[in-house]
Amino acid sequence: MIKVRLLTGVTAATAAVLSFPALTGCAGDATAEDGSSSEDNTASVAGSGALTLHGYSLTHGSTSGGDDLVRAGEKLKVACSLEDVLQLLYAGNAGDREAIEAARKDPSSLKAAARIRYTKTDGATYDAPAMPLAFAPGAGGVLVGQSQEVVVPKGARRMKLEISAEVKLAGVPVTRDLLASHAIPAELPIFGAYLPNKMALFDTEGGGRRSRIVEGGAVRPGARLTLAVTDWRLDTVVDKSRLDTRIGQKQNYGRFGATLGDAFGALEYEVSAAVSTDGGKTYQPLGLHKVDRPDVLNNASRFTFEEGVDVAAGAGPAVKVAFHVRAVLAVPSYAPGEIQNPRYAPGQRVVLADVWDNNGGQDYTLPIGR
Amino acid sequence: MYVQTDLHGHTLHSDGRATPEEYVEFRRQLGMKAIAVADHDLMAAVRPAAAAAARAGMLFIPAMEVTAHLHYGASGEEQFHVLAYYPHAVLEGFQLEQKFLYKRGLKVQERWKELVLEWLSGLAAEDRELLDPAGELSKKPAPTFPALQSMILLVVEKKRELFESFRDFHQRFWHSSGPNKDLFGWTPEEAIAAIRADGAVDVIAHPTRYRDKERTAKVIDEAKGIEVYTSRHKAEVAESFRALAEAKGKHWTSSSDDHQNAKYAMPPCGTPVRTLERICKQTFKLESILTI
Repeated sequence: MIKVRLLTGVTAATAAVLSFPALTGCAGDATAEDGSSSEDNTASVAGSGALTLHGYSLTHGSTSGGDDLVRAGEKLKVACSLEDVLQLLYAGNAGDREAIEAARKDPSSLKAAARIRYTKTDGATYDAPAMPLAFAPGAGGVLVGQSQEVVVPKGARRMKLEISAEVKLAGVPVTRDLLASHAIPAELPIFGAYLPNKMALFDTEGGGRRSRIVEGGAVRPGARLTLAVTDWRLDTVVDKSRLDTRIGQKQNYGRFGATLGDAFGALEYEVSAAVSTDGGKTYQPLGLHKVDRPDVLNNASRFTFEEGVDVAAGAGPAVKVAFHVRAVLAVPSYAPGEIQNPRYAPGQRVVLADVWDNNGGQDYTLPIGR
Repeated sequence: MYVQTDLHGHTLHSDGRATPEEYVEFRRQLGMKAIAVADHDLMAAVRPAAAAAARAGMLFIPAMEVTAHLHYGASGEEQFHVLAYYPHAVLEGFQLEQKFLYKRGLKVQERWKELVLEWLSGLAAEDRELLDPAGELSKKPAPTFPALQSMILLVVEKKRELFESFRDFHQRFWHSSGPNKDLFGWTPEEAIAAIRADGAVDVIAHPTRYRDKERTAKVIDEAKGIEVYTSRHKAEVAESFRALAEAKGKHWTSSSDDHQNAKYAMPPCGTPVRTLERICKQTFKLESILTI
């Protein structure tokens, strides 16, 4: 049990956010912006969560024991500390000490608000009403600004948070977007917007492998199923830590001087799948393509391999899938003398692992149903 | 009972090369169960690394490597590093950002920016233009300003010949001849006191590194814990520190001190559960220890 408690830092952190006292307003209703109705399970897996700004980092975390993905129907709050708002608002302007002290003395004088811009499936955007941030002492006496609770609407595929605050420049009030002005990533995908199309996500949980349909429920016949395998899953499948990616040696520079150290090549993946939509009677090959900064990971430095499968209206009883993974060492092109004691030729590609991820030979099963 | 850990390593927020996420991912691949980022004197990597560790299913311990000195401003001046380990629970809400050492870290970032800009201002105009063509560096807020290793890589990439100049200049940052006595002029005992006042556990980093062995022994006596396994300790040295820690009833840790500039040295042993429990201020149940 501690396994879970220990390992859910984001959840724990955001759970604490929920305990802050200054709640204003009340939860709004879920809005079907595109008028779609849904028989999906998304609502049942969308619990509650918080978008929390810590310094220069915005995180989303579930406060109801869920994962870090946002789903239509999720109840969300926005929280940030007064000190973080002041830091972002007055960054680099030492001359604003008076204004900073005034805000600390009387936080109600600081006009700050959160606003969410939604992107619909057709690419059109609309802004939800601004939510004032009410500052009040939270745990440890920290002044925390918290928004009212909002419900993530159906029909939206992305949401972008803006936290704005007002600053006076030469006596003239100017509103600043604190996140955009500091290039803080603040856009999140929303799952459930494309129902009945769904995504089967093959990722990791702790040291193990995890497979699930993000929107919940079964694969829908007559709809599209996207198969997505995360980078960490691939690392686990090929046991990346045991692969030797050294290509030679090169000069390294650090605070203690220049030293000769290992030079490494990049590990690249090639991923394909064998997919059945008739419970394993027949299989079709499927090539998966790399997606950098995929929605499901919401992290600039990560990637997935994805591809969609059209599941026929009469398909059943289950989708079965097995992944074929090749890990390839990509040796970069390098100038003469740049790499010493080279192990490979410039530009060479070396297969370091060639394995199947197929549930121990049983393949992964995703039930088809309504 | 031991848990596989790496409780001391650096990211690009100080003198490492990895992003916090890369740092976590590397250790996840190795099967680490409990990790910490311990950057020098700041905690900028803690939040993103903690989020990545949570996604990876690892116990994350907020930490910092605090710089103090022996014989500061006198003959034999040398840096002395004390690791500060905070309970995991400080990640809840905004507790971490209220910690004294966290706020000190913000000052460290401001001073670092000032030092780098000072070095740049002393360069010939064409070199300054080469390193910072659009004058963007000075506009960056201190928390996003390139830290030590990132600056070194920038200098080497733009003009290798400036590397030694920057390397020599940057040492003023900590040294008593530089402008930051208020930040780094602490004795190890003062650093330990600050760590404890912050609710964290103090652990002496790589204790074999310091030249003044007699003084180091006194500080070890004062400390709550000792970093036993680290890439800076040979096996027999680590075993002797482990024996010392156990004889004196001290906590001890197992880490790498990884900066991503050399082959990773996997800690040969885990950290005692007792140490992790002391840091986290909670008792771990047996089944949880077996499964984390």
